[in-house]
Amino acid sequence: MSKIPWLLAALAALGLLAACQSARHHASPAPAPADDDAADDDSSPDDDATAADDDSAPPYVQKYQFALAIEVQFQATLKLAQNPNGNLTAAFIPQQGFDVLLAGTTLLGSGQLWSIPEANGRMVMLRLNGPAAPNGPCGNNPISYAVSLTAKASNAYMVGGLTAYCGANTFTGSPARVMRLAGWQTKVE
Amino acid sequence: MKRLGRIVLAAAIAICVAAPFATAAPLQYSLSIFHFDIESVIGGLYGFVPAPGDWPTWDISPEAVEDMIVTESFAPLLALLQAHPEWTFTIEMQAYMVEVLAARHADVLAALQKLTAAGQVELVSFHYAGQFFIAHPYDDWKQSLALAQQVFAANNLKLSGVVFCQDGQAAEGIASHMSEEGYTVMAWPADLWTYQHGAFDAAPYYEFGDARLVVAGQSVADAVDGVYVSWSYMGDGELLATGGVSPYFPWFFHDRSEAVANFAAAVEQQEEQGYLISSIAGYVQALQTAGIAAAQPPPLLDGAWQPATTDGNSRWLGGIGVWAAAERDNHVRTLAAMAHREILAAQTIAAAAGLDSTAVLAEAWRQLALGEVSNGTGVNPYLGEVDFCIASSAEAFRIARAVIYEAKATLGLGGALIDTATGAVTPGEFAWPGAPTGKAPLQLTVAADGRSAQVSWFAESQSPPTWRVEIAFSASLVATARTLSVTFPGTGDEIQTTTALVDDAVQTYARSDFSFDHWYLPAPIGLVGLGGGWWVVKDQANVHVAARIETADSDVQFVDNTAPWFETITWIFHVVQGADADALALADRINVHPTLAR
Repeated sequence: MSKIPWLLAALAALGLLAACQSARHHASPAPAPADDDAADDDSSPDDDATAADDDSAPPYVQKYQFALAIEVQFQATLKLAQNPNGNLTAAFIPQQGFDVLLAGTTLLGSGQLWSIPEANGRMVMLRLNGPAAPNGPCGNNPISYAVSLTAKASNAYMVGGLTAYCGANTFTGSPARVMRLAGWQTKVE
Repeated sequence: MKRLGRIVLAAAIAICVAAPFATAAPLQYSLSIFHFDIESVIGGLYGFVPAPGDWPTWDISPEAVEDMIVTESFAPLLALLQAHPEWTFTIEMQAYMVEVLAARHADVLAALQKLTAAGQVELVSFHYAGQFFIAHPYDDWKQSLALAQQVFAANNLKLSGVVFCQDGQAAEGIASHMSEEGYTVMAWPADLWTYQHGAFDAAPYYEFGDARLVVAGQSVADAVDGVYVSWSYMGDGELLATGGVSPYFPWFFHDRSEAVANFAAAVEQQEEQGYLISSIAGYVQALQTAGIAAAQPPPLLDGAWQPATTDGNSRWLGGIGVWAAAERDNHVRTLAAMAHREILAAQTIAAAAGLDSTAVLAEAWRQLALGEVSNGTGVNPYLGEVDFCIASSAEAFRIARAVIYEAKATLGLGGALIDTATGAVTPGEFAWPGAPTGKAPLQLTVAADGRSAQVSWFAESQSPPTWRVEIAFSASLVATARTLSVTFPGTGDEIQTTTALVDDAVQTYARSDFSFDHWYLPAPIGLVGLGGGWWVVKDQANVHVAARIETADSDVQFVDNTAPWFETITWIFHVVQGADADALALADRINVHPTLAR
């Protein structure tokens, strides 16, 4: 863990400068998607819309957008729609390509907002599908992607991963790559 | 032949007669530990240079960093050994590094195999990934070790009987599992010892359960037994060949032949002085053969090496480093705790549903091992390392939750209560036990500059008396509002907690046995004694920072200096008044074998 002190000092100074300008700390928090727990008591307007829900409010689709950093320094956008049944539909657009991900290709899929009640937490879980990235470890096989973004309570900054698996609709086994995701969730409408 | 026989017989008699009167030659050993951590910059260096513009030769990929560690620092050490076939070095690495060698460095792996088979490399590994395992339950390490053993065996690498761990972690509890896993010698970092007890003259070796313990990095000069030990190297292996440059600096991280040559010259000098350039196990074997008795070690608390610079375990569990803005220790460690629980719940409900999820969940355990890597929270993690560990634990969690949903569907359950201790799966929904109480059983001191904090107590049980306390910290508008703390009042002289890898026993120490003024307990199952039959259990899915204790005070403080200022954060602790068994049962129910509602 040893480091070169003068290099560290120089980089730390640059880091401080960068942190002051970081979008990570300047975006405005936004409300989280509605809770999806099964114990729906309709105690708030934002309560969920599961099949067991007796909420009489008209169904609506809530849309969210994430400005994400992928693999720390690159950008991606995640668009979510939370449907009346509580499920999510998603579009993920990376600006940077990797050996398992093609830049600019929109990955489509669906998922859920998972509640973790004992941890006061939540996870956005998505399953996406994308085309082959022929120069990567999956070769000419299509690639499946699992998104898992985590946060506590209704905090809008979420951190997690985009995990690539070789093969269509494949979300288990040995990942081809786990890529880091982090960014702010904002409510679109 | 008859004459030859007489000569041999005469020589044998002469040796037998003379032996009792001869002075035994001193045992002179030169030992080493090269701790190679291929995850020392876990996830690579993308975004490391916090300056405008692209730095493509510095902001490099995970594979580029790993390859650089292999070619610039590991391979040169093996080459040095190849040039000195009479030398043995002790090399420690996580199993993940073997996977890297197998995937992309077949020649280096072959060299390692050959040197290990020849006894020139004493190969040490105690975990699949470089986990901060002393802060997590036994199950996590057990799964990690099992995977590590598979990886080493699959690559024809024989592990030695020596234990040395990521970042020099050491714990008394390790002794409880050494013999069952084939280990015989614990290498305990010298500075982790002296930080607790001050400077000392090391005995040749010590008792450590059924095994033996050597103080790694501490020379021995025992004139009575005639044992002399010199350590040629004890530290990060990556730094030797690169002349002290770490992999965070790829522009400078290069094999410097003069650094290796200087080291080789020093070892040669030791050799000329009569030192055997030996394995640690070989040294211990020589002590045992010579009939030298092992000494008794003092009480030793769980920790890692370099405690003076890392403030004990603090830097991995709430302490802040150079890249302050990026750190979020509690997020990293609580997510790992959540994934641990989710995997156990998945195993439990899959068994109830008759699903074979072993292979699927094996990957979840592997991802959890990567998520628990020490470099995600300490010593100076940059953003990429923090996020790497979160991504891995999140994927572990996701895999496990998917298994739970599949099993629920098989069982036809909506909401399910999954008891990971008993294996029972019953219909039900989540509910915290107990009711709010306005009467706090303990007076807490909560501090959070720049935030508000709401403390709420709940009575959970009357027998034994058990409470839950929730401390809700608001978000702040001030970027410096990073520190949260709560102090539980304590009493008495005893330090009570559990040691790593032993989740079912309380360890009790006297404060007066230690020379430090404070220490940070990792509390791997969350349990810390307050004295007088009171205990606090951190609910590790909500708060997993170190517990600060002092020798001059009995209070227990939990402190996080890395809390993101823009987030709301709720800490949850449980308090129980009762015997050791009551405290252990509570910690087990909360952190080791919980019941989850899914």
